[in-house]
Amino acid sequence: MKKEENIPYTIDDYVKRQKKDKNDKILLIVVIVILIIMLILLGYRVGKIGLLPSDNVKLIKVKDNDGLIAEETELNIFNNTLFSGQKKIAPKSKGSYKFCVENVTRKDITYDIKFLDEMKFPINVKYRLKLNNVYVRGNENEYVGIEDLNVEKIVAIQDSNNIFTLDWYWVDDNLNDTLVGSQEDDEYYKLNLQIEAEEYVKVGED
Amino acid sequence: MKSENTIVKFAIFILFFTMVALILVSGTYARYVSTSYGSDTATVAKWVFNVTDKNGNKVNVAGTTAKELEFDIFSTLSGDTSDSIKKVDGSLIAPGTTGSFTVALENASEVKAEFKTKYEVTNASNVPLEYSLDKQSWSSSIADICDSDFTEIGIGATANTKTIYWRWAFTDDTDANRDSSDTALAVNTTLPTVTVKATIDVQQVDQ
Repeated sequence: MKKEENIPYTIDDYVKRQKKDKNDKILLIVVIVILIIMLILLGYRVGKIGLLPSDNVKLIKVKDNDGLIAEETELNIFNNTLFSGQKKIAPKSKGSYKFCVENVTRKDITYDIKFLDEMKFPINVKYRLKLNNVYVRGNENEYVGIEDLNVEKIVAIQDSNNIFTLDWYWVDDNLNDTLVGSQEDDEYYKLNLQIEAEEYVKVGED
Repeated sequence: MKSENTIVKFAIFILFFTMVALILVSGTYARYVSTSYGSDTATVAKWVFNVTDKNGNKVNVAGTTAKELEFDIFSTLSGDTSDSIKKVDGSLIAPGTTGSFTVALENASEVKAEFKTKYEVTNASNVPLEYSLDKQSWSSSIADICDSDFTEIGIGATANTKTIYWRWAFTDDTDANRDSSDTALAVNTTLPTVTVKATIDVQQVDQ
């Protein structure tokens, strides 16, 4: 029965059938092309494929007095006037470091600032942090440990700047300070600063 | 045939609709992320305070508690005795025996420091020793001439380098001789010992 349906009865039927098959093929190709384009678009939207991988999209510029902070930048946080500007610290040393986070997009963003220190012997350096001249960690009379220094989800509207002031202070501790200062080898204290920004999504848009 | 076409068309429509929906909502799962990273490393200033002991050895006394240097004063005999008595061989003591020792302080730290010194003598046999910094004026109390309150010392500086002279005095403060007491010490079967203890307390100066 099916075979009979596929058999053209006339020349006109045959031509129509050929034309229809051709149109179907074209339609199928168009649909396939559209689906491929949509798949690419989808991949691009979720950031998995595309010409601009999400990791390279610059949402912020972080700057200090010496210039741009990008990746693996050596900062000048511990330059100590008591040691002629050398990066040298001692118990009760203190200092201040300013940096600026600029939203360079035309969208609102949020960012986190994370601090992590490294040392061989315990060194009791404490901090306080001001955002646009207002303390967000610690206060006029109190410094906090590095474990309490991180700030999260700071919202920066488009084309805005935030200026941070990081105050540091080596709170003296006779026993540990003597231990670290008396070592034959040069001892060190390293502070890592990481700022991670992402597009801001208002609550309810997720 | 018509039924099959309808199913295919319906499937394509569903797929198309799904794709459009996915594209529209995909933005909520996408985040452009950018990261800046920097670090800074500081060197810890050295904390070293040396005291040169009677043998010329440097001892680092920078610590959380005061450091004590203790030694037998008769190990610092100079052998420079008075002509009126037999010259001793450097190990014997007698009235007129003298000696000296030097204590030097050095702040080898990279920070300013302040120090305090305190001298104590343990002299169970009451050997009549006197002490001087200039060999001119003598005192029976070493503390009176050597002790100091906290004194600041700069980075890399030396200070308070003192040579302390001692002698077994022939006479007391009233110029009376000590013949009987000296004789008692000499005939005693136990050799008298005198120990000096220098206590050096060092701390960082707030900057």
